[in-house]
Amino acid sequence: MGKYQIGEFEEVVLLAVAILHGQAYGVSIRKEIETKMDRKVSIGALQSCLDRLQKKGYLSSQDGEVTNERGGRPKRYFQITVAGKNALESTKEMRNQLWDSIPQVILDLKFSSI
Amino acid sequence: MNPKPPRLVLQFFRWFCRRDLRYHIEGDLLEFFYENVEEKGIKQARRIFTTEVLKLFRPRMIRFLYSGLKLNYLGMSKLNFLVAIRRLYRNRTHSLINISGLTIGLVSIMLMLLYINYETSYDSFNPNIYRVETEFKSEKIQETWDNTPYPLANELAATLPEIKSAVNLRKTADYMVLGEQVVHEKSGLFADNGFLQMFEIELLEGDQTSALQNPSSIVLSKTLAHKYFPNGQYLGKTINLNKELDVVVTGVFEDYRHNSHLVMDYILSFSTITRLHNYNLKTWDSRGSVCYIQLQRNASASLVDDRVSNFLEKHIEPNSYQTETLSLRPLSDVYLDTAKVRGGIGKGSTKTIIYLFYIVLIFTSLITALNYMNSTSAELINRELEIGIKKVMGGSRGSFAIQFMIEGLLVALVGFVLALGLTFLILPYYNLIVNRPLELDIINSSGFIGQVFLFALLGGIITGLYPTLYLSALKISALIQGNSSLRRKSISRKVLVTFQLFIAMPLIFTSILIAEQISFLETRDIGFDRFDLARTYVTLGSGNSDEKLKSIKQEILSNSNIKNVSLSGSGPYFGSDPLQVEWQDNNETEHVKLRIHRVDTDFIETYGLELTAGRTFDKSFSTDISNGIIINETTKEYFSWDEAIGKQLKSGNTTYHVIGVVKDFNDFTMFKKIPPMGLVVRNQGLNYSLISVKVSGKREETISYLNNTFNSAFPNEPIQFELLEDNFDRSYIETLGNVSKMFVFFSVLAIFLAALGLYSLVSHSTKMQQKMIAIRKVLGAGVSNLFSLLLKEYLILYSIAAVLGLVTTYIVALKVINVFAYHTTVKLSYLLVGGGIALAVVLISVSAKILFTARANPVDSIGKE
Repeated sequence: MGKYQIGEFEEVVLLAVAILHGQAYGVSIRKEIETKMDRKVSIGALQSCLDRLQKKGYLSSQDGEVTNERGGRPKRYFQITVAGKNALESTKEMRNQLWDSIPQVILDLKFSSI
Repeated sequence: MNPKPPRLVLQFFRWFCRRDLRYHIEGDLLEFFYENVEEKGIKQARRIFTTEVLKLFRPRMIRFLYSGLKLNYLGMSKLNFLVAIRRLYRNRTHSLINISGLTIGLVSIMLMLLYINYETSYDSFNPNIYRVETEFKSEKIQETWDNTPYPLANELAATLPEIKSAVNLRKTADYMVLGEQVVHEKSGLFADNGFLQMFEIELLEGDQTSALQNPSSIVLSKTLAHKYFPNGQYLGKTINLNKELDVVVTGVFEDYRHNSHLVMDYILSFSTITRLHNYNLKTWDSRGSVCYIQLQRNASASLVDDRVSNFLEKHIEPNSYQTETLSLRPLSDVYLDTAKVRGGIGKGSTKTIIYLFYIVLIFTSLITALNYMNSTSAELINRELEIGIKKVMGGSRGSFAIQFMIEGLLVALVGFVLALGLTFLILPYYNLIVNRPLELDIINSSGFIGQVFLFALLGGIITGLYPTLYLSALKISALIQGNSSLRRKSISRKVLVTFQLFIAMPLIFTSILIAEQISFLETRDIGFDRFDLARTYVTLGSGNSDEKLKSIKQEILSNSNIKNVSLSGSGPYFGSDPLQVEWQDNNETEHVKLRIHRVDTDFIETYGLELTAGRTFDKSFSTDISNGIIINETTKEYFSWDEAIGKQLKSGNTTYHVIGVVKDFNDFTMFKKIPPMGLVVRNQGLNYSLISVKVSGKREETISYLNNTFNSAFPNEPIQFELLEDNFDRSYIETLGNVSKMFVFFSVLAIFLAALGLYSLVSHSTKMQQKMIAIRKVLGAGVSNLFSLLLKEYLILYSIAAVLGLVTTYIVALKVINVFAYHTTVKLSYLLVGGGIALAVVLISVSAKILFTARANPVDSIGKE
């Protein structure tokens, strides 16, 4: 995987942050993952993943405005960094390469058996 | 109303969450929560909130565990753990001593606790049940009996509202007919109908509330039911008793629990008695049954005790020489108080044994804990350098605490797990020794295992604590140079050695004493000759007349293997009758209740009783037959007679003349002292007769001859002669025998532990003396010189411990031995034996190590400098 090592869930979170572009904070990221990718995420899993990605330098964050609906607590907005973008791209590339190197026969087989 | 998330959960979150993440995650949580409130309702939302918070509780989110930029405590603990395991592995001898010492200690503690817990668990299922006992008090004698009049139970239940129910019990002495055979089932009871409910005996078949309602009803244990009716279908079947009466099976119960003083294989309804025997259940003069009552839940036992106390006055003529009052004894005390109460419906034991075990338990715990602490702290000396360097690197007191604690706990844990496993393995054999069905049930006795675990943990923590506190005071330079006060403080260690030896002394001494006591009892002169005595009994009545018995007696006497035959109403270890007699001396009257055996003229010779004055019964004197009495020496002493012969004892209308005095003989159990007794000649009209036959040689042959002769003469009776010596005071000898085996077993373990502790202390202190020895060697000291020099130190400590320990034990033993009615004397020679054993233990555990040190090459220890 070269110099960018991210796990599957980390990739999903990075993607969600990228999609939300500027509106990515805990609740919205979670909703994004739940609706678009149809998978359940606990706050604990999400937050520790965000923390990890930030440590690795793929995400940056800043505190946002204070709103009443959150009991007076600020939102923390996440942005994808250049390193994060690179990581996503390299992951995608790697995957494409792998897809391409699958012999056509196997894919046909697989599709015909469905 | 504004919906709120669970307050405690939120507080918990705020407490554990990392400070840098706390605010916005809380915001996310709350936003999510409010959304959920609208979508799914408040209840659901709160639940989701809680699970989300719990899922947040992970190392990355917890501020204490998250390493970030702070010190890595978790990592450090991991390292400490690794180091601890490596240390254990590297110092194999030391670890072995330490762990095995702890394991053995814990195993003995567990085994003893199991026994003690079991012995104190008897009949503790309901604290509201009491036994009503009769207390007889006269001028010189106070006695408690478990027997009460037949009508008492009903009368108590009817008059006192505090009593929920009351039942009568009585042991049976009847036999059953199984097919053609006649069988004596060992333990049966007559019981009133409420008994099953009171003692919580569930019936597998039949109705608990009415099974014992009607006369001629019988309830069988499962085993017995299966024995009589192997095909099942128990209810409604009949069993024949005494070849007279058919009783109907009305219930079957699961075999009765072992930890009860009552032993029963079958229960007959109480009213069945009148159909089997000629007893009058209405009369208050009887003392034939044992009464148990159950109080109402909120009733006060002491109040009931007061009200019951004088209950008999209304029904029994009070007499001038003795008072008769009632008292209550909690059911759970009955088993261990057996020695205090005469009579005895079931089995029993005594608290003395429990106390003895508690003492050994405390000693063992002490020795185990001391050992463990000693050997761990003694080992510290090898770690001076490590500790010194850690201190240089900035190791704080806290980090040492964690390190030592982890090491201590590791050993404790390993020891505990091993001990648990070992106990499981040993338990079946242990049960054979103690004769109890003990179980180590992890689930049900988790409290008990928890206690032992706590003990092990506490040991681990204390061992960790000691070096922590101690080491923080030491100077780094001294530690690194190997000059620390760890090497100098030997006074406290000497005290510890002395103390360990001191504790071992009473154990050794008591083991000797108990072994002596047992052999004393086994060989003691019990006053009659119990060997070669074959006995049985026969019920007299229709067809089985006294005359017939006497003619058979003449018949068997012609057999050359039979020396003597005696027919009596009772005999040693076969019941007796009470007889109230009075003696008039000028104007004073003295009363005594004699235990009477109604015998024939051959009794004294058959049992080999020894006359100390007067003569035996003579057939040719009709007065001997009607009015003669032979008393035992206790009776003579009771009346303080110088000359007993010719004294007159009055009982009702009869006046007995004392014609002889016999030496005291045991006729009941050696747990208890011999009471005043008397022998009189039996008259006609006995219900049954004891047949005692003195045989000589060819015992098996003679016994089968006896069985054949009697069985053909009394076809209705099962007759089975048994040798008295086979059954002699079995419960007593067995109890004491078991106890002595256990005691010796645990004492040996404790002494072994003490030896282990001594060994580790010796290895520690010789290590400290290495340089001194090396210098002496360089200066020319020989091995034997050094050996005796080192040994001297331990011999001095030993002498101090021995003198203190043995003298204390001796003084205590002189008092304690008195709990046995008949006991061996505490001899001074036991002290010597005890001291000798302890000395041997000291020499064995010390000398090898000392010799090793004395022979070491001096270069090894001073070459380093």
